Parts: sequence; C-alpha cells; structure tokens
Amino acid sequence: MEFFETEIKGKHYKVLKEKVGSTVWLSFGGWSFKQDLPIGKRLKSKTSSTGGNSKEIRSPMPGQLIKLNVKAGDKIKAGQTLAVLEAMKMEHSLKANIDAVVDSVMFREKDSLQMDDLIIKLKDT
Amino acid sequence: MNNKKIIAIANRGEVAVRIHRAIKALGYESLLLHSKPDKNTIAYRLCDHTQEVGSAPSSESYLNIKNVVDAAKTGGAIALHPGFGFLSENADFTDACTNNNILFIGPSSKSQRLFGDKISAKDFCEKVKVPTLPSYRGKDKSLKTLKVKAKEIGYPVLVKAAAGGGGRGMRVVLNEDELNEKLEQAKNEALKAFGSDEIFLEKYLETSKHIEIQIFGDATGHVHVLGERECSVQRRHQKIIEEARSASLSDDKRDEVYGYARTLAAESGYSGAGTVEFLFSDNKFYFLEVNTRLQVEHPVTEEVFGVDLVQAQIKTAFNENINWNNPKPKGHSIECRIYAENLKGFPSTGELGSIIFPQGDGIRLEIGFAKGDMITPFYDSMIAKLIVTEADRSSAIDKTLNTLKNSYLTGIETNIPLLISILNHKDFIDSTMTTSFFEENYAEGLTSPLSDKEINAIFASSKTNSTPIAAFNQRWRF
Repeated sequence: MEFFETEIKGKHYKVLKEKVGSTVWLSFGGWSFKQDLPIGKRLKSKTSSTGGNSKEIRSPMPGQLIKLNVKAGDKIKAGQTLAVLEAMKMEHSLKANIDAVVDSVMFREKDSLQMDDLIIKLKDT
Repeated sequence: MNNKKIIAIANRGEVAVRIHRAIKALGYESLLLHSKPDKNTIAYRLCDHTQEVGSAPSSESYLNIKNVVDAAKTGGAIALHPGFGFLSENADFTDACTNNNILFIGPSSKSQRLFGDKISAKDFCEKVKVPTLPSYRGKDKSLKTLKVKAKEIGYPVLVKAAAGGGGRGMRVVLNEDELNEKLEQAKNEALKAFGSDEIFLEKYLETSKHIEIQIFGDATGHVHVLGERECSVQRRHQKIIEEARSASLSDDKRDEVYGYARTLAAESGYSGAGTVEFLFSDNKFYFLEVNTRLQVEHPVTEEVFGVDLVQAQIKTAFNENINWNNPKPKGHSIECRIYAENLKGFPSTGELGSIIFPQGDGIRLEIGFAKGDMITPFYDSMIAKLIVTEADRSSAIDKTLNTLKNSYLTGIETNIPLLISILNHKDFIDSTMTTSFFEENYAEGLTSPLSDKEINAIFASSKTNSTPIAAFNQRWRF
C-alpha cells in the first residue's frame, strides 16, 4: 500500500495505490478503480452490461444463473428476456436488444457466473 | 460453566457488530450465529462466542429456523436478537424461539403476523382510520383478474409481496404488457426472501416522499414516538440515503403523522422497536407498512434523539424499564448506505483491501468487514453505513461530503461516488426529492469521470512520483 500525491484533471489528490489479490487498485476522492483488465475487455464489458447491439450476452455481475428462457436455434425478439441472474438477493433480467437467433448457450440454470462471462451468443436471423 | 447471560445475534455484517455493542454495554455476553463463510467478518472476531448455523446460502443458514434455534440453544443463549432482514420479522421463528425458552428480542409474534402480512396490515389501518392507498387484496390472483383490478386502480401499480419488506418482492408495473413479467419477478423474489409468493396490487405514487415514524412500545405499555425519518432516495425500493428528521414536514403535518403511528402501535399493543412507513404526496399521508423490527437506518434517530434503540430493545424484552423522559430531537443526522457495487449498480465482490474513513465528532461508521475479508455474492451488498450528525441539515450534508471524499477503499467498487453525486444534487439539497428521484437522475448509473487512458496514466504516475506515507497517520486526516 502506498499513497502518492498527483494532479488529476487539474485538481490535487492524494491517491491510495494498493495491490489486493492479483489486482492493483487506486482510490481517491471516494472513487475506487482497478487495473486488472486490458483496455479492450474493459470497454467490451461496459457495452455488454447494457446490451447495446451486442450479439454476446454477458454477465454484468458475478452471481447465479437462475433462469434460462432460450436454447440454441430459438428465434428471439428485441426486448425479450433471455435469462435472469441473481446476486446479493436481487434479480436482474438479461434482455436482447436486437431481433436474432440464439447461436449457442454456454451455461445451464443454477450455474455460477463470473463478471463478464459469455452466457448466450446470438446470430442474425 | 459460564454464569454469564448470553444473548445470541442471528445476523451478520454491520448490524451484528451494532447488536454486539449493545449486548456488551448491558453486561451480557454475545453469541454470533453465523454462516460458514462469515468467519471472515468483524462480528465473528468481536463476539464472545460463535456458533455456525450452516453453509453460505441464506436458505441453509440465516433463514433456516431449525439451524438458528439449535445453534442458539447449543451456545447457551437465553435471548436472541434477530437484527433486520433474514428471520427478523418471521412469526414462526419468534414462536420457535419462545418454545425453546429463548427470549425473542422484538415484538410479539402476534404483532409480527398482523403487520407482516401487508394485507391484514391494511385491513387493520382501515379499522383504526389510518389512510391507505387504493389496492386490490382479493383472493383471486389469476392474471385475468389482476389485469382487471390493475386497470381499476390505474397504472402505474405496484405488485407487492404480502410478506414483503425492505424492498424485496416489489415491482412497479407501468402498463398491462409488463404485468405478467413483473408479477413473476416479484413472486420469485418474495418466495426466496420470505418463503411465500402471495402478492397484492397497490396504486403506485410516482411523486411522493417516503416518511417513516420510529415507534417504541416500552415494558409499561407506553408508546414512544421518536420523530420521523425521510428515506426518499431509493433505488428499486432499496433505500440509499436516510435522514432524521425530514426537512419537508411542517409541525402540523408531523403531529398528524405521529398520531397515525401512535394509533397503530397503541391499538395493536405493540412492544419494542418498530417503524411505521408512509408515503407523503400532495400534503397527504398514505400508510405503506409497519416494519416490526430495528431498521437499517435506526442510527439517524438515535443520533437526533440521543437514545440507544438496541439497548432499549434488549431491556424491553427482559421487561425492564427504559426510563425515556420524552426525548427531544436535536440537530440533523444523515445516513449513507455503502453498497459493494460498480458505477452501473451491479454487485462488486471480492477481497477487501484498505478501508480508510475520516473519524471524529458526529461521524459514525457502522461496518462489518475489514481488510482481507471477502465480500461474497451470497448476501445483501450493503457493507457499511456512514452516519453523520451536525447542528443543521446543510452542515450535515457538507460534513458527509467531506467524509466521503476523503475516504479510501480498495478491493471492491462502492457506491461512494454515487452518494457524493446525490448529496451535491440540487433536489437533495433543497429536500424536494421524491421516491422517483433516483430513477429520474441515476437510472443509468454513473459514468467514470476518467477514461481508461487517464486511469492508466495515474497508475503510471505513481512509479515516478510516489511518496509512501504511513497509513496510520492518514486515518486521522479530515
């Protein structure tokens, strides 16, 4: 653990830098940032959690897959709930943002998921 | 043999630590009933005695009545404090404690049944003339009937678990198309959280404030009313920021709503701590529910009224007098719930690194975890509460902001940036926020103020421009 002082966007901050497990973290001004993912993956996870036009339905959080509504070959409509995740007692529905066909499903109900795990792959109708 | 009197804590995290503190202050010993992974928590390390109640999933540990009662007996407990959530409002659990000669610290199972079932609670309100919202509470719960009734009430409606509480098992339905899906979600969540999927429909007010009244029935049968809390900053009915008292009520309105709360408590013979929740809209109050337990946000009432609600609960359960002499409110207190979540509001789990908060007068940090502990996906994501008390609301907001901005936390992401943003929001500062405030302003979560490139630049800057400072000194910086 170390503290250092630096300018961030023209403001002076004291920053905590600390390695927790295999991840290096920064904390300042109430924010916590980690540096464990390559930039490309980080950007991808940002779009997958909200859907976007992604054909990859990924887990936006660590948790359990409690409901799987589709199987490979199913035709799906934009807005349809494909799967439901649960973590910390809250349920979260994963919806399709596009009309598509389910290409493959990588997990089964009751499976544990890590953040960003690819759950369902879609392809064009 | 141990001659000390032991009180069991059937909970975890920060509230287990809070209850332990009250138990010790009154000269008892504490017995923590914990799940397997919760050995890595502050409560496990602090409590005098510990008993494992089962494996990680709540259904196999904290929600398992037999396991909890057996562990309390094995550990020699004479009484048990349930905290909030889990079995705290479960009348069958209360009866199981009583049948096993363990004094349950909380209201009677009769009160729990009356108010725990939101349907009978509304029936009771109508009987004692406390205002409620239009609802459908009939027996026929077929989708066809619910569609008709929802239309009669008028969308948006709220699907609510009869056994609900703490925001679980509730869904807002904006139109008929959504009804089925939201119904299923609410039922699933309710079944998991409360073991019952009975639901009812209620009118959903889009612009209302959440005002709740702290009641306390003491051993002599007297009902104390300890003012109100405002908890309008909510996401999916989970509170985020609470304060005592509300900045939006006139003294006349206070008298009116305190009267409703007092009526409900007195007419039902309520004993111990409880909270009567109301929605406040167009200068009118509507009964929401009675929570027959300690609330997460009890500290703001304690700070403003100078009482210790947990000690009072324990004394009252042992039929001892609490000797409150009509406590009067002083100052303003704000509680921020610190959730383990990322900027988009999704859970953030993992091993905790350092947790550093400013300390000092008026700053109260209720926390259940320390460096090296794991935040698991099994339980609620609230890891701590920051309660800040000052002479008036505006100084309390400033001090909360200063405290949050000067905190450091690594290992997981938290909602601290979100809390800072809310506390700076004009609607919060003006106290005009309603229960829709969060959805209107933060539905998409926050965006990072820094790009990945900028974050990497800060990481890089530490190598060339770093001055290690002993962490110890920094704990006291404000």
